[in-house]
Order: sequence, then C-alpha cells, then structure tokens
Amino acid sequence: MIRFNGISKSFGKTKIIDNLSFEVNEGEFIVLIGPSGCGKTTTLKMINKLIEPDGGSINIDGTNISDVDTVTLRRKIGYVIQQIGLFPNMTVEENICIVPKLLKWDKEKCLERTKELLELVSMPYEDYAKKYPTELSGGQQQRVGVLRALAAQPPIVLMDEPFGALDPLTRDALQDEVKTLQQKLNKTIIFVTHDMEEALKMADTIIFMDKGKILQKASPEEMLRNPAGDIIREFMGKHMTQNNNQDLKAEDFMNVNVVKTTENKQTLECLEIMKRKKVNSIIVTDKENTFKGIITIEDLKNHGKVGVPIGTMLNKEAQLIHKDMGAKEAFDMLIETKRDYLIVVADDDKVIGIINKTSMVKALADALWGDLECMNS
Amino acid sequence: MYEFIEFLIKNQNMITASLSVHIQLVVTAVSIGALIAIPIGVILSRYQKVAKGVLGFAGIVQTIPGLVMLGFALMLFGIGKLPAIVVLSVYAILPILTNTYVGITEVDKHYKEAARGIGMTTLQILFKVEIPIALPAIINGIKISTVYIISWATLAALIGAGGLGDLIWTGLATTNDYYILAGAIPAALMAVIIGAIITVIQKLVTPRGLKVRG
Amino acid sequence: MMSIFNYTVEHLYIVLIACLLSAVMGIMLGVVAYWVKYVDTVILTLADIIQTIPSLALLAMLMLIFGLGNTTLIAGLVLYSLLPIIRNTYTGIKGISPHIKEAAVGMGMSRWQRLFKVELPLAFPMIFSGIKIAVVTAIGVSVIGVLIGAGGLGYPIYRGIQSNNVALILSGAIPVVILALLIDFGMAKIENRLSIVKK
Repeated sequence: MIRFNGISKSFGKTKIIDNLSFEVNEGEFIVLIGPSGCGKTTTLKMINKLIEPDGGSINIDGTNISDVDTVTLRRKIGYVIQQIGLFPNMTVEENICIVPKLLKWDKEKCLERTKELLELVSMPYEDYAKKYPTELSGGQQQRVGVLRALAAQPPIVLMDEPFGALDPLTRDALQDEVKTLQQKLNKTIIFVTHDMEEALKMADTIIFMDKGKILQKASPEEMLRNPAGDIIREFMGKHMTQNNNQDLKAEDFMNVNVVKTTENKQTLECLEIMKRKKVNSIIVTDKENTFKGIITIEDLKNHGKVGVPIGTMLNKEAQLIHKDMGAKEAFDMLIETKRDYLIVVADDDKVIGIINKTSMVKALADALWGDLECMNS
Repeated sequence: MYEFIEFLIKNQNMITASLSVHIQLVVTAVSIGALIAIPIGVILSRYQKVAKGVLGFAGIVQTIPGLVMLGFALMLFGIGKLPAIVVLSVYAILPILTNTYVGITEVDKHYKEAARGIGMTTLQILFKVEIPIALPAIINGIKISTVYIISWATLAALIGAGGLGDLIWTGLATTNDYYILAGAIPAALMAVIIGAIITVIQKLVTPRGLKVRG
Repeated sequence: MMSIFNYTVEHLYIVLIACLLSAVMGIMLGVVAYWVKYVDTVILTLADIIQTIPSLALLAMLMLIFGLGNTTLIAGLVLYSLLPIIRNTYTGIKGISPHIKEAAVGMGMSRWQRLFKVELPLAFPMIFSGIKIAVVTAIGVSVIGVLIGAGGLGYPIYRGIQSNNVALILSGAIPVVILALLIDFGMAKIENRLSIVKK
C-alpha cells in the first residue's frame, strides 16, 4: 500500500533519513519508534508531503506521491498531531467537517457523518457538536482530533505522538479506542511514538529507527523476544529485563516481606508469630540479621518446651542463595530441591528476602503483561 | 452653565456639522488605513525578515508628531480635507499593521500544521484559520487606530479639514470658552463611545472558542 | 541654533516634571487599586477613558482651568501618562507569585513593609516599563502644547507651519523624533537589565 524506496533527507549537513526503504500493507497498524532525532516524525511527514525527501520515492498504491497534487493527496490521508490542533475558532462539528467540506460534500452528508463519528467515541452529537475545543477536556479534544482525521474516510491515517500530552488514564482509554476503530474500519495507520509500551500495545508491526535507518522491523512479540541490538533492548527498558531471564537476578523478584525472628525467642512467642502471620516456618537470624537457620511448626511441636529459646532446635537445612543468582537458576533450584522457599542472602549471609512459588508466578506475569505493581504487595 | 446651553442650542447646526465632518474624516482614514494595513500585515507575516525592518520603520514614523506630519501635508497638498485624510490614513495604518502582523504570526504553528496536513490550500489556511484566530488582535488594532485618529483629526482642523477641531481652534483663537467646550466635549465623548463600541464588536466577532483559553 | 537647544531643554523639562508627578500618582493609584477591592475597575476604567480623550480636547478643557502656559500642558501630560503607570503597577504587583506574598505575610511583615520590601521591588521592572511608555508618549503629545501657549519643541514646528518654513518645522521635529527614539531605546535597555536581575 505504502512503499518507501531509498528515501534520504538531510537538514543542513545532518542526515536525518538515510536510504530508507520499507513497505506498509493495507490495514496494517505500523508504529514508528526510536530515540528523539531518529527520523521517525520526518518519515511520517513525508507521507503527506509536509516534508519533501531529497532522494528516493514514496509510492501509495503504486503511484509516486510526488506526481500527485499535494492538496489532493493530503485530503485522502488523515492526520493527527500531538498538539491536537483543533481550530479554536470552529466548533467540534465544524472541525470534524473541514475535510468533507473541502471535498464539497453536501450539508446533509456532512451532518450524517459527524453524527456517526461522534457516536463512535460516545460523544453524543446533541451534547458536543456545538461546543468549542476549549470547552472539552484534553481527552475529548484528541478524540475529536482523531474523528477529524477519519471524517473523509481516508484509507490511511498518520498519527504523530497523538497521545503524548494526555494523562496516563486518558491515554490508555484512547489507545484502546483507536485500536478498536482501526480494526473496525480497516484503516492503515502509521503511528509515531517514543513510548515502547504504547508501541507494543497498538502495533501490528513496529519499526524501530535510529539515526535515520531502520534497526528492526518486526511484530511486537518478535521484537520482545529478539531485539536487534542494545538500543532496542535499552528502549524496551523494563519489558526487556523482565523478559530476559538471563539478566534477571534473584533479588529482582524475591519477596521482601520475610517472617523473621531472632534466636533468643521462645517457643510460645514463635508459635504466636506463626499463627499471626499464617506461616508454618520462620527464618531465624541473630541480631545482625545474619542467617542462623529456620524453624518449622513441626520442630516446635516435636522439641519445643515452654521457656526454651528456639536457638537450640534450629533446622540448618534451609537452602540459601546469593542475591545475584540468575532467575532461571533460582527457579530450577526451587523446583529441584522441592522446598517451599529459598532464602536470599547478601554477601555476609544477611537475610534480605525469600523466593517462593508466588515470586515465580509474579516474575512470569511481569514478563507477559508488563510490570504489575499491584502484585508487589 | 445656562449660557453655555443656550450657546449649544443656538449653534447646534454648526456643532452637528462639525461632528459629522469629524466622523467622516475618522471613518475614511481608518478604512483606508485598514485596507492598506491588513493585506500588508498578512504579507509581512510571510516574510518575517523583511517584517522586522518594515515594522521598525513604522515605529519610527509613529514617533513623528502629528503636527509635523500635518505641516508637511499642508505644504505638499495645500489646505483642505485631502491632505488631512492622507496624513490621518498614514497614522491609521501603523497600529493595524502591527496588530495584524503580530496576530497572524502568533497563531500557534500547530494549527497551521494541522491545516496543511489536512489538505488546506494556503489561501484556505489564511481565511479559515489564520485570520479568524487573529481577528480579535486585528480589531484591537483598528480600535487603537480609531481612538488615535479621533485625536489627530482635531489637529487636522489646523490645515482646514474642518471637524470638531475647528470649534476648539476658534475657541482658542478667540478665547471663547464655549467654542472650546463645544468642540472638546463631543470629541472626548466620541472617542470614549466609539472605543467602547469597538470593544463590544470585538467581543461579538470573537468566536466563543477563542474566549475561554486553556 | 541656540534656541533649538533651549526648546529641547524646555521640552524635556516639561516631560520630566509631568512624568515624575505622573509616576508618583500612578504608582499610588496602582497600589490603591491593588489594595482595595472593586476600586481597581473604577481606577483603571477612568484612566482608560482619560487616555481615550483626544489630546487637543483634553488640553483645551484643562486650559479653561489652568489658563495658557506650561502648567496646563503638564497637567494634561500627567493625566495622559497615568494609565500605563497605574496599569503596570497594578498588574505588576498582582502578578507576583502568591507564595512570595504568603512568605512575606508569614514572616510577620506589615502591609506597608510588604509593599516596600517585597511587592514594589518585585513589580519594579513592570512599573518601569509603564513609565517608559508614559515618557515616550509624553514627548510626542507635548508638541501640541504650543497650541495652548506652552513652550518646548512644538513652538518652532507651529511657527514653521504658519510661515510655510520647512527648515523651521524640521528644526523642531527632528529633535522630537530623536528624543523619543533615544529615550525609548535607553529605557528599553534598562528595562531588559532590570528584568534579568529580577529573574
């Protein structure tokens, strides 16, 4: 549908786009991502000729766009920008209808289309059509911004960091809406962002750019699994570290809420703690927090006497692991030793946490769905 | 006080005639000024490098006392309405020009980018986006010009243009307080009232969307 | 040539006296407008109306009170210069961050201490730019003072017009323009420096 053939562009002496070639299929949701200055916005703006390339050609449906009248071309391509750019002197309805009116649609058709579009984003025509942009919230404004881009039923929509200025909740809602709209209306969308989370969520295909070149063009899963290079890995930030088990260490996902006690505690006190915390074993340390052993409810039942410090009946068989141990190794050990938990210690055997099956599940969940803060507690 | 009212009644024809001449002078000068200034302001907004020079020059012209300009007009064109209108128009251009230029250049570039991206032609962007958004600023320029010109027009009587200035002149020359008041009071009222009317117009033509900012 | 120098000095003298008076009154009125609720609209509107009145009309009416001469011109210039000074004083003080004002209240400063130690110093760049506007306007307006019997550079200009003498007109007009531009330029420089210091 859209094909870049060896596109280059320099501003002054700086090369912004360097011999860029790629293809976008019909109905595809393409996200261009990369560090600032990587050329992603420039690439986007070449499609509607806001920026002209120095060399190479861009074809849409087989036609070189430099042969198409600029204004005609733009009217067939929707355009959404981060600053929204709704015209403050026009109502919501007038804003949505700009392109249809430029295309000389008749009044009735415009009205119908506006109603239909507002319906799509649950902003009733009666309530919103006559409002001015300044009377809407940021999220509503950008919804209208998206509708304006869709109004004349363009097959292609360009979006330049459209949700960058919105608060996280609104951004999330709009991402969902746009993704749904795209699938429902079967639009080809080229979307620029610097937010990897957004890219992973929205894209069919992610194009990662750096210094005017494509580093990797891949589906979100493929990019997560096999990032082509350190920049991409870095860019993925938490998505990467949590996904790449090699890099994840024991201390990254251990549970720090450890039930601990000191060796001079007595049997009854210990039982009381177990009852309160609903555990059947407790880690015992000295006053410096150095590991001494563990004590289980069985140990207490079998050997415990009132008034005797627990230090005398410690079970020394617990499995200690160093905090720098790799995640996969730790999980393997947990399964192999068939223990309920591994005790994570720092260099001098100071106890800093435990790893149990819950920690494993959490680590897996993070890798699959991103960092779920709610599971930390 | 009583005598003054008597004077007003006796000379009401003369006073209303002066007033209407005054209004004519102002309306003509401001209209000519606006017709020249708005297109130039629009063009200058496209050539910002040239604009700096032009606006700087305009600023200097504005510091030339009106009396001096009238003096030159008198020498160039002689006595009458024409030289007065020429001078007044020149003065009317400046505030409208600056405000048009500033108003249009201050239209947020995102609006222009959105408009281009959507497929508006340059002219469509100008008439549908830039001028409507800059309109309050342009009208403010017209207001400043009008108030100025009402003031300068009282001086224009000096070169035989007539108007309320004539009455003030006669008063000053003959030390007749009534003439002075009969010219000065309507001139003052006219400036205040027309200023207020333009403020109202400005509010009316400003789309609701531009009033609530943020 | 000597006489042009004299006219220039007289012109400057009139403008200076008028602007000094106007600055004192304007700042006072600006502070009152800031202090007293509802009075701000009254003061600002009145100053706005006065400035709208055509200068010749204003001077002619004042002449009926003060008679012919420099006094009338100075009175007219004072009235004329009030608006920018009042407005800038008012908005200058209003624009000071509420945190700073709160801090001053919290330190136990009285209203007057706050005014002189915090509010006026912080608003000064803004007030200064109001005074600049006032001075530049006054230089231009005082030219027509000649019509109500005042002195200054308006005199040679008026004489030149009456006698059709271009050289005479220019001998008055050029110093006026130069004065206005120089003072505008010089005060703008000071203004820039002030606003940098305050930031």
